Amino acid sequence: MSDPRRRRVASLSRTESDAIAHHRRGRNLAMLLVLVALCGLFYLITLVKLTHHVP
Amino acid sequence: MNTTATAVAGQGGGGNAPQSLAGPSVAVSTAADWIALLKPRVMMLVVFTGLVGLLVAPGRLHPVLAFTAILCIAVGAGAAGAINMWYDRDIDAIMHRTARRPIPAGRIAPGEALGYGVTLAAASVIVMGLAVNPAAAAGLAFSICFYVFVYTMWLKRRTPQNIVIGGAAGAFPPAIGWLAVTGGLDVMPLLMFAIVFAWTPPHFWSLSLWAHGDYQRAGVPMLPVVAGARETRRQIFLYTVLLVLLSLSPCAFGLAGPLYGVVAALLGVCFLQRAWRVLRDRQDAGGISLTGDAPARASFRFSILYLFMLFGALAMDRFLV
Repeated sequence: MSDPRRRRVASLSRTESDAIAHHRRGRNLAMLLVLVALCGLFYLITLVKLTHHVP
Repeated sequence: MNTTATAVAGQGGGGNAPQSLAGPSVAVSTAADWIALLKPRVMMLVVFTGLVGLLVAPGRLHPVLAFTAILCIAVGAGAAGAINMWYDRDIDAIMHRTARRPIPAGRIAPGEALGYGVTLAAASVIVMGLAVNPAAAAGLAFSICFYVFVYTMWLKRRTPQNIVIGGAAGAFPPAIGWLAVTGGLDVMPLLMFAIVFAWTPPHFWSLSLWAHGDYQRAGVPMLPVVAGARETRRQIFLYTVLLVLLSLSPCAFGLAGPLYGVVAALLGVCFLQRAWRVLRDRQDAGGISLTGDAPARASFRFSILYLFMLFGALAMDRFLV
């Protein structure tokens, strides 16, 4: 608990904690969408490379 | 990762600016902050010019690979923007225009922004190299490095020519789009590069004419700060003349058809008219505008429309003629 940022977070009110958790969920969801989209893109790239014999 | 005290703001790469802005005790980043770090408005222009470079290039690229190339250009440009915001966080905190960006506002820690930028830059170059071709990846890597090291770290705080030379970074995307299709360069991508290169000074100097107070406070030697508003207006006009001549060069080289020629000429006349109004703006003895820099604001707005329409005409010309 020597980190000032951690101390500040530890002293948050319930409302502030909820707000932080809400933002964190939003970021995690955005990250999930990006990762799923990337998986789809890499799959398509592989498909194109294999079927069209692109080097 | 989730919370960042506002005190982390204002310790930028230039290192000579005062600390922090006032704000809440704990600031929290949202997904929108991480998107803002990529400078999405700049990214739009980069994506569009890159797409036109890709469309006008001879040959074909599979749509999935073309999409990947444009995505890599967008992410690479965004990554360079994030690294730029990390380095410039001290001056961003001073300037009104940029003080609410995620780092100076304390919503994202500088180290996190740097890690984000470097990771995205590396990923965009690697994916471009693996999915498209090594030449396009090399072009993308060069443009990111040019923006970060040459413009942001070297020129921006040292010379009023910062955006002239640094503007090259924003001019690379059409050439990268071309490289993605052909794997090599030709006259046409060099002309597209030259057009965006010549477009950058009148675009940025119009903005800096009314935002020069910000730049002065931050110690950034933009042309109006160093040479005065009168000289800046003269330079805006001269670069606009150069831009209009360059915009007509694809027709002169036989690389674009009459549709592009007509649109380029009409847009050129409109831009010259606005640059002339900037030059002839009512001003006091010190060159300070008496109209609130209304002509410069109009010229700045038009410059964005100009580039979109010019490159749009180039792409249409390729498909219609």
